[in-house]
Amino acid sequence: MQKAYEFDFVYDTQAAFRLLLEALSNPGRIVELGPLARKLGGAYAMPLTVAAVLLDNEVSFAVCGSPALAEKITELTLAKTAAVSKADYIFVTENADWQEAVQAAKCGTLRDPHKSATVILCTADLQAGKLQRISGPGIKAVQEIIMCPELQAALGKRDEQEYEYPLGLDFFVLDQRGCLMGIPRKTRIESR
Amino acid sequence: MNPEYNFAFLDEGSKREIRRSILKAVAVPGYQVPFGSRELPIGRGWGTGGIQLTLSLIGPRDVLKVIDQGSDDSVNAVNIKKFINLCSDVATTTDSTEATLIQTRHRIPEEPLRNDQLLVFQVPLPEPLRVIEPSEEATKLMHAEADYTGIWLQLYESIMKYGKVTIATEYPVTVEDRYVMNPSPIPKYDNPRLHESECLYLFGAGREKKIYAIPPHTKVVSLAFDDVPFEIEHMEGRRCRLCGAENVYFDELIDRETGAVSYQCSDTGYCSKRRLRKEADC
Repeated sequence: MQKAYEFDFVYDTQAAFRLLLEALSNPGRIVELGPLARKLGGAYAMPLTVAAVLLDNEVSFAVCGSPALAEKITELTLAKTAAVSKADYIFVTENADWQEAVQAAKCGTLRDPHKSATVILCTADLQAGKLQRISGPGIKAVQEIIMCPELQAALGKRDEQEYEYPLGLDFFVLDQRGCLMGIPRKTRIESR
Repeated sequence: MNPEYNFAFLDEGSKREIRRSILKAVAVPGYQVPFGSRELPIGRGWGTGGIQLTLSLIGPRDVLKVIDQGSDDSVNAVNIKKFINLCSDVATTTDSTEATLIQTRHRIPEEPLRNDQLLVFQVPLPEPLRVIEPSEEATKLMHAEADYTGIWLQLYESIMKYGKVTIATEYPVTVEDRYVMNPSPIPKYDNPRLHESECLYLFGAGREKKIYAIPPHTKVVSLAFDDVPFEIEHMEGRRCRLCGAENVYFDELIDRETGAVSYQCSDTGYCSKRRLRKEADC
């Protein structure tokens, strides 16, 4: 019997989850998801790896951009698709319009802030951009990071929405080189 | 490893749900994320929340330490460690600096934890407002509205009645100026270690079906009034009878015959490491 993927859905999802956890607990830190994603292979290996860790038939997702990715995610995880405004996880492929995702995504309620969406933003290179200072839980005082223009714009749009904490959106940003960064809802870009 | 079971006992669907909840808990520090607590071959109230977190986190390359009230050798700690080892084959240790994943009941290890380590707490009662409000629906609303007057009143009444706050363990804290949180029944002595820590703290309550977290470098402040500041237990003038350590958290031992009081490090891993070092130096 030949396996469709070299990716192991027990051991590799565990290792990938620990990377997602490290990234979200330490906003701005870049972790290497690439070696695990390469085991899944294909054009959408990075977002598919995140989907393999987090998605199943208990949650819903939306894809802004590539319908092929939506098909692959359904095939891999059995998660159901939903409108952007109702999806638990929103995948935004490279060069797709992230504005709708950030504007329409559900931000939770004061009673149930965990019922908010997580946005998975795919970029070409998440380390190509401008130097920014970020702060919030997980960051010792203030940290300087290079932020790609897509994430910077998405965070700007998120801040325009003026969510009352604990409402908000959490981001994972992925790039083609296999890097991943987590930006939870409480992370803020500091003005210089 | 027992091949009859999935790696780390839980089925992958259960792990996925717990993992999703962990990420939400990290994103909203101090907020209790509800989750579908699973049945385990151990009674609820014996650390099932912590075990489910550990089983969802653990991988073959982890090194596990389990402590109960600081002790590596208590029945609860030994059996949890055995169970996790049985279904995952991970290496175990008593040295908190060697461990990548530490599951604890009611203590934070003496030696400072690093950013690459995870500390999982077993939590019996996650809701800090339960003492003033029995309804879950009502406490959820109180958290939503950040209505914490009841818990402040409880502290005030304690000061009026006894001249001080009499809560010894699970002393409530405010996380990031928003959520009042129960830090599990750790002694007040450990509360300051929650603030701006290097490592990620995860809290699991299996019976109450809640997961919450304190990420590294998060503001955690124990509740106190301007004129009655928060105080930890005083350990000055005490010395461990085994290793001679000072200024750590002690267990108090009373000799039944003579009534003599002696002290011993609550963190047994730390204590035995100090004794081994002493022996090697001699």
